Amino acid sequence: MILAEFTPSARDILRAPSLNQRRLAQLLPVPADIETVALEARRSPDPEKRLLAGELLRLLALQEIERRNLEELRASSAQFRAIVENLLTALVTIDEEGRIQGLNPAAERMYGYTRAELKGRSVTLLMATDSHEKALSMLRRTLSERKGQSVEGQARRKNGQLFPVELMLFETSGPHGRLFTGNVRDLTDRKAAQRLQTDLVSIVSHELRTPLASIRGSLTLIGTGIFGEVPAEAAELVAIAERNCNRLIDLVSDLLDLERFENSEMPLEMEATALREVIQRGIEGVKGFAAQQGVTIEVGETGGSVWANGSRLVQVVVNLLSNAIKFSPPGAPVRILTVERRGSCEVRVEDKGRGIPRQFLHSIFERFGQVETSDSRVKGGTGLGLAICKSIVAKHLGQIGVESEEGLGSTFFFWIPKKSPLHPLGENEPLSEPSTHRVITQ
Amino acid sequence: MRVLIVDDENDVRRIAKLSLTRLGGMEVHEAENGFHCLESVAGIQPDLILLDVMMPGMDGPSTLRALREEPETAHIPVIFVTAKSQRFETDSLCRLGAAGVVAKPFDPRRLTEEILSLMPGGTVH
Repeated sequence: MILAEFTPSARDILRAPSLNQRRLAQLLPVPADIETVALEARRSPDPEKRLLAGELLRLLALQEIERRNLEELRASSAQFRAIVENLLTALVTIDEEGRIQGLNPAAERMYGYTRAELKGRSVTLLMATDSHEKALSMLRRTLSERKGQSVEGQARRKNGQLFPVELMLFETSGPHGRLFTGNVRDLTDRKAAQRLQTDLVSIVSHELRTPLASIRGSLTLIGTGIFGEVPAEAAELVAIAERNCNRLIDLVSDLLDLERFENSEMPLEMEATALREVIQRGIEGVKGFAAQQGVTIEVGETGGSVWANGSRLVQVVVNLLSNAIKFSPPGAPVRILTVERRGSCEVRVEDKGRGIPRQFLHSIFERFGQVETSDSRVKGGTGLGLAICKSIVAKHLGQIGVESEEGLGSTFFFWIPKKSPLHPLGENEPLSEPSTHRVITQ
Repeated sequence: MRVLIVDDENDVRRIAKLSLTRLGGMEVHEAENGFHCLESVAGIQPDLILLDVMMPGMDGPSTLRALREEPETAHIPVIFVTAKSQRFETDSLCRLGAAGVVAKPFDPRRLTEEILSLMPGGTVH
């Protein structure tokens, strides 16, 4: 028999009737010289022997490919394991019944348990709730409604301490069924930093505002002349000191406002608010300034009702009107109007001022993002007004933007929904696509 | 009109006092905290108490509650003076029984006018 000339494992390979068996046979140890034997056999004058040798060589080549694939898989698996083991983020894997199947060292450090202590135990050990059913239902809800999104919640360490976490759940399937892995981040430090920041802003603003208020109060009282007539030059200096003091007080107030809007989790008190009234109150707030600058305020169509905090909207209107007045030449009009849309209302403030160069259209809504750095000194203002407007409008789930043509003027606009977000969504239509001269902040 | 100003900031008390005496023609007394206010209020018998909200020891709201518990002082109108001037903050202060709230920093030129407008019935006792 020709096959007898090959090694026993080669015989097994060639005798295997199906591909699967052949593959199994490939895993059997093959003598080192089998390839040489096969190569020699291919040169044999016997056609059957050549055929079998060719088949053997083909199988040897397949075996080599399989071996390399396996090596790559092993290397990749080791690499993946090393990444998971060294991640700073905690990973916890559970099965469909909420039993813990695995966790990485970061999770061991975060929760204070070892893998052995948790393997097969209920996930409630790591959660604020003691009820396994509640925990399961919460995780299932998160998985169905917030899959791939992060949610915040409370977790529990081995010592019983509850701590805030951010969690993102994702599903994987393994040989033993569906598995769910939680990507968990400890928020203790972040929350502490937020609290510190809030406290710091509050303390600093109080510590700054109190002495500033006393300086301003003193200057104001001197200016009233209740202590006798103030010489003209002294009165001028008192006025300068008072004006700069006001600027500092405004700056501190604006910084405090910004921190409050951007970092506070406390929602604004909202109600159905008539825009006509908001605009009237806004105009009242800047009437004196407009007269002083020789600018007239024209009021266009103003109607509609929005879901808003009236006082905060007035703050936005006052800010936009003040800016428009500030940058308008004397005698020029500033126009304010509203545009009602299907699900939202837009307020527009138009001026015929110097306009805004295109490169500044985005940055003007950032803190101290004025077109000219000298603007706050020359034109007044803190450089925070538009950033505050942007934050307030964002709190109303709206958007703010600007259209401007250098040398011709600008139109600042903002829109906010007519109804509370608790009403069915889908009615708030977006504005038209921004043109090159139009910027809507995100 | 006799006013008792309660504030832990000496400068604030001084400016308010000058404003109310010189511009408002009022008689002004001072207390530097809630305890001091409760000690002196019976002897002064003010027509109005201007009460700071944030003070060490006994804050404004606690002082107001203590004033309301004593028959001798329960009727005295109290106006809070505070830097916390958001509506929900002023509303909660008014719910404690204050006649009104003056925002800090106040304008000394307008302080008299402001507190008179907040007095019950808008009148001077």
